[in-house]
Amino acid sequence: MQVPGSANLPPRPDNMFPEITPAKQAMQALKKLAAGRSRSTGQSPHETGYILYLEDLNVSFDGFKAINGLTLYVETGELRCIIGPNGAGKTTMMDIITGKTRPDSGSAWFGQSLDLLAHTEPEIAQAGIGRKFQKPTVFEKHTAFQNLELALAGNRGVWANLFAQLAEEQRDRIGGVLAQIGLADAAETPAGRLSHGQKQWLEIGMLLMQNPRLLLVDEPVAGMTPQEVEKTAELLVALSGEHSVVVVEHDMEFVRKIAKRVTVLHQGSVLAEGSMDEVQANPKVVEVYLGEQ
Amino acid sequence: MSNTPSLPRTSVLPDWLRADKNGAVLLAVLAVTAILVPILHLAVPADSPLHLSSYVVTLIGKYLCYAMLALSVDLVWGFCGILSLGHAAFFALGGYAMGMYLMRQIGPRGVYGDPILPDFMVFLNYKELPWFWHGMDMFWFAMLMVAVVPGLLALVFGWLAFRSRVTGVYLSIITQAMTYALLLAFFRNDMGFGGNNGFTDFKDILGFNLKSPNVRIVLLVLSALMLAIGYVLCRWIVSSRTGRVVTAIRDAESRVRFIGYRVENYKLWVFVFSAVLAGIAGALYVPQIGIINPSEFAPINSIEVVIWVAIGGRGTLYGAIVGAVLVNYAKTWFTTALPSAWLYLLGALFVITTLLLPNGLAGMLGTRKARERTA
Repeated sequence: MQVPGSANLPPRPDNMFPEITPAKQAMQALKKLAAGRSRSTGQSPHETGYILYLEDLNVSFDGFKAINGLTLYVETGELRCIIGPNGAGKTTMMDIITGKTRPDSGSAWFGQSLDLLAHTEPEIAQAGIGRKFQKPTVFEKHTAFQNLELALAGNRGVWANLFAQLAEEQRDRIGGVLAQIGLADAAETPAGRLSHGQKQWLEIGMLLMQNPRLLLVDEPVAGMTPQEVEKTAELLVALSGEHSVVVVEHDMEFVRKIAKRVTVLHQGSVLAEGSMDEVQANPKVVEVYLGEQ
Repeated sequence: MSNTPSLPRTSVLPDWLRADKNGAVLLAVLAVTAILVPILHLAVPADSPLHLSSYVVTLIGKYLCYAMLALSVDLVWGFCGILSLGHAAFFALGGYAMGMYLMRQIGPRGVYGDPILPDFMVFLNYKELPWFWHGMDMFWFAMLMVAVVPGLLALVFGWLAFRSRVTGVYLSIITQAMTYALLLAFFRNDMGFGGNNGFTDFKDILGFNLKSPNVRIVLLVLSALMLAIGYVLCRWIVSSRTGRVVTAIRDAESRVRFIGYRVENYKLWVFVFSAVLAGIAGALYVPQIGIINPSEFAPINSIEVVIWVAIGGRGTLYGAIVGAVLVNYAKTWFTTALPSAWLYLLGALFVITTLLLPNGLAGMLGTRKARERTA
C-alpha cells in the first residue's frame, strides 16, 4: 500500500539493521543508532521527529477487514485530524494505538522505544498516550476540581491515598488545567451539573493531568453548540505543540478550522493525506467521502 | 463519649469532620445517650416514671449494634456501589467469636460441670475441644478473632469476586449465597458451634457478671463509643482521596480503571474494612442479647439491613444509623402491637422509599435544605 504524500518516510529503529540478529550485535547497533541520531538532530526525539509510527497494520473481524495495510506517521507536537466515512477504521485505529485491539499483522510504535503491540492498555496509558472517548465520562458526583485531582498523576495505592494531601504545586497544577480548559469558575461545581461541552473539556483536562505526550481525541465536538465548538477548537490548537494531538472528527467545518494536516481513511487504509485544501481537491477523496455529502 | 465534637467550631477538628454538620448532631445524640441512659437506669429509682428498665437498656444497646452494622453496609453500598446482601454473615461471625469467648468463660459452672468443654459439646459427646476453640478463652485473642475472622472471609470472598469483576446483581446474589451457606454450615452439630441452638446461658465477661446492671450499662456505653468511632473512621475514609476514588468507582468504574487505579484493590479494602466493622458490631451485640445462633446468618437479615440503609438514606453514613434505629424501633413496636403486619409494613416502607425517596430520609432533609438555600 503506497501512501500518497509520504515519500520521505521517517527513520524507524527496529528495521534499520534487519540482517543483524544476535543480541549483542543488536545492542551495539541500537547504541550506534542512538548516537547517530542525537548527532544528526542534536535534539531528543521527544522534541523533534515522529511520535507515532503505524506500519502496514491489518485487522479483520470475522473476515471483515477493518484495517487494511494502514500506514500512518504522526509528528511530535502535531495536530492531526483523521477523517473518513463510517467504517473507515478510525475507531479501530485508536483501539490499536491504546492497546485495546491487537492487529493481525503490522507494527505500531510510540516514539522511538515503545512497541505498542507488546504492551497492555494501562502500560500504554502510563507511557503517555491519553484517549478521550466519544461519550464523555466524568465523575458526576465529584466537583470539576476533584475530577482532575483523581486523574492527577501520582500514587494509585489505597493506603497512600487514604493519607494523601494535595501539595501546593499540585493545587496550582489543577488550577492551571482548570484555566486551560475554561472551567476555572466551575472548579467547585459537581461535574454532573456541567454542560455537555464543559464535560468534554473536563475530560480533556483529566487527560492533561496525566501529562500525556500524545492525545487521542474521538469526535470532540459532537453535540456541541457553535460557541462550544469554537472554544474546543481553540483548546485543541493550544494543546498541540506541547502535546501531539490526533483528532477523529466527522464535522468538516471543525476540521477545516483546526487542521494543518488531514488524513483521510477509507476502508481501513489511508486514502489521502495533506492540508485540508489538498485533501478536498483530491478526486479520490471527493468520490468516496466528500461526494457523499 | 469523650471524643464527641459537640463544638464544631473548635479548631482542633480537621476540616473533614467540621464540614459534617449532620454527623456532629449524630455524635452529640450518641453522647447524650451514653450519659443519659446510665443515669436513668442506675441513678433514677425503679419506681420513678423516668427509670429505664433493663429491657429498654438492652433494646437501645441492640439498636446501637444494628446501627453499626448499617453503617458498614452503607460504606460498601452507598459509597462503593457494592450491594452486599450478606453483611449479616460478618456480623454473625463477630458474634460467634465473642460467643466462643463467653462460652469458655462459663467454665465448670455449666449444667454438666465440665471445666473445659461447653455444655453442648458434652451433650454431643465431644471428647476434647476442637482446635479452633483453643485460645478463645483469652479475651484479647477472642477480640482479635472478632476482627480477623470476618475480615479474612471478606478478603477471600472479595478477592475472588472483585478480581473476576463480578458486579451488580451477580455480586449481590453470591453474597446471599455466602450467608446462606454459612447458615447451613452453622446449623450442623458437627461444626462445633452448637448447631441449631448456638451459644447461650453466658455467665460473665472478663469476670464481670453479664446480668448486673453496671455491666449492661458499660456494654451500652461501649456500643455507643464504638459506633461513634466507627462513624468517624468511615467519615474519614470517605473524605480522603481514597474515599473519592471509591465513590468514583461507584459512579463510573471503568473510567477509574482507565485512569490507572486498581479498582479491585479499592473495593477489596473497603469491603474488608466494612466486614470488620460488622464483626465488631456483632461482638457487641451478643453479650447484650445473651444468645447467638445460626438464624443470624439468615439471608433475610442481610436484606433487612439494606432496607434500613435505604430508608435512612444511603451514601450519607448518618442516614444508615438513623434508618437502622427508626426501623428497628418500629419493628419492636409493631411486633408487639401488630405482629402479623410488620413484614408487610417493612415491605411497604421499602417500596415507598424506593419510589418516593430514592435518597431516603437523609435525602429528604438534604433537598429541603437545598430548596431553602435557593429560595
